[in-house]
Amino acid sequence: MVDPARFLPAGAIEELQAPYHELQARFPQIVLTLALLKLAPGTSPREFAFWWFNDAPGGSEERQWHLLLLIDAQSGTLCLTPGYALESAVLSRPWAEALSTTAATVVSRGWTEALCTFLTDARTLLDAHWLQTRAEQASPPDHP
Amino acid sequence: MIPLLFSLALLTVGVPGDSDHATETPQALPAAPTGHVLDRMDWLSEERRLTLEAELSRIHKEHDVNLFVVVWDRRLPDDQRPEDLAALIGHTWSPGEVWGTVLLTPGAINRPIAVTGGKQLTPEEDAHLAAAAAYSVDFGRKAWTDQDRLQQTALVLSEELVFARQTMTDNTTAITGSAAPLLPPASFLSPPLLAAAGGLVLLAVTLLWFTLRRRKQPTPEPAPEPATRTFPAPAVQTRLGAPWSGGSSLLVPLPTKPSA
Repeated sequence: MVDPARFLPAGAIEELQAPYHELQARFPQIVLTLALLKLAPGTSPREFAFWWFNDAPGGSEERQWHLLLLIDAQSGTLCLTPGYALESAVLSRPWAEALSTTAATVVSRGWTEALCTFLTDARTLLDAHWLQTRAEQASPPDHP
Repeated sequence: MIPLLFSLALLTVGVPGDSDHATETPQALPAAPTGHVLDRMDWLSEERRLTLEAELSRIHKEHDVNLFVVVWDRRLPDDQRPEDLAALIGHTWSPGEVWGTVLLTPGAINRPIAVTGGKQLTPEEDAHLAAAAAYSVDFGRKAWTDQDRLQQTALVLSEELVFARQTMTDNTTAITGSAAPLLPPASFLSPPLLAAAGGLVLLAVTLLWFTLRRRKQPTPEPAPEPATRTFPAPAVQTRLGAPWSGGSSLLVPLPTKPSA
């Protein structure tokens, strides 16, 4: 959790612990980072996330399994960036819809509940992808 | 009931800016949408909205059933139930005899509700429609995403309302139709037909016996799901010289506050 501008209200981190640890315990391979930032005006959240993901120090092969949710208060956008290993799981319509739900919940219920919703949705969607992957492994598609 | 509904027409709704500091101002129910979907938050994708519009318009045209899908963008006052708002929308917007409203409120973005009603319904018909609404919500819960949940609820409810309306029409026809004698003609009681009926009964009993016997056989226990789940390492192809991520196409703006 990265929140240098302190957008989250007091006690929010504690509330997010439970869903975050549930996700982590279920998928220990995956590291999810939530970052609430106020980028400089004109800075693209997508480009910033791309740069941060690849240039932050301490990178190793495991970073391909990272997932970065960047919330930019300057442009008012949410940007979800997966490592290469998670692209097939994350870059899909259900994840886009989960992100839309998170954005709507920010407005209606506040940051804490929105991020809790996102963590729960993320676990559900990763579960679905895991089941799909397992089914495909059990019966691989026929190749011509 | 009606006075309550019309008293709701002047809903006191909040300004959903910072949810902790929302103030409440009087606000009238918006005018009926030109179609059947009202989503001022643009929460539904364009593709999904068009799909819903097309199906609900077809059902309205062919069966005279009005179903509205509403994504409400304002917080309800604490003493107002979403069900009352949904009923108000149905009563106010629907010119037809049978209507339904599937409503999503900011307070329950993952739990759509469904309310049904109509003009001059008997208590039995009213109860039938209410059961259809409950079933559609229950069915919608099985969907993965919130948007899917809303769409499934609406589509299932539309089918249920069409069926209910058809049943109501059939009943009316049966009551007002000709009072023909309902006794079977004497030829139905002839020995060959009785023998055939007996054979069918025997066949049905045999099939039932086989089915019950198969059910009694124990089924193997499914293997327990692992608590920890890992994905196999995919074949990764780096792009743009970036070692760990190729960037993202998932960018979503925060919705504009209606009060802004």
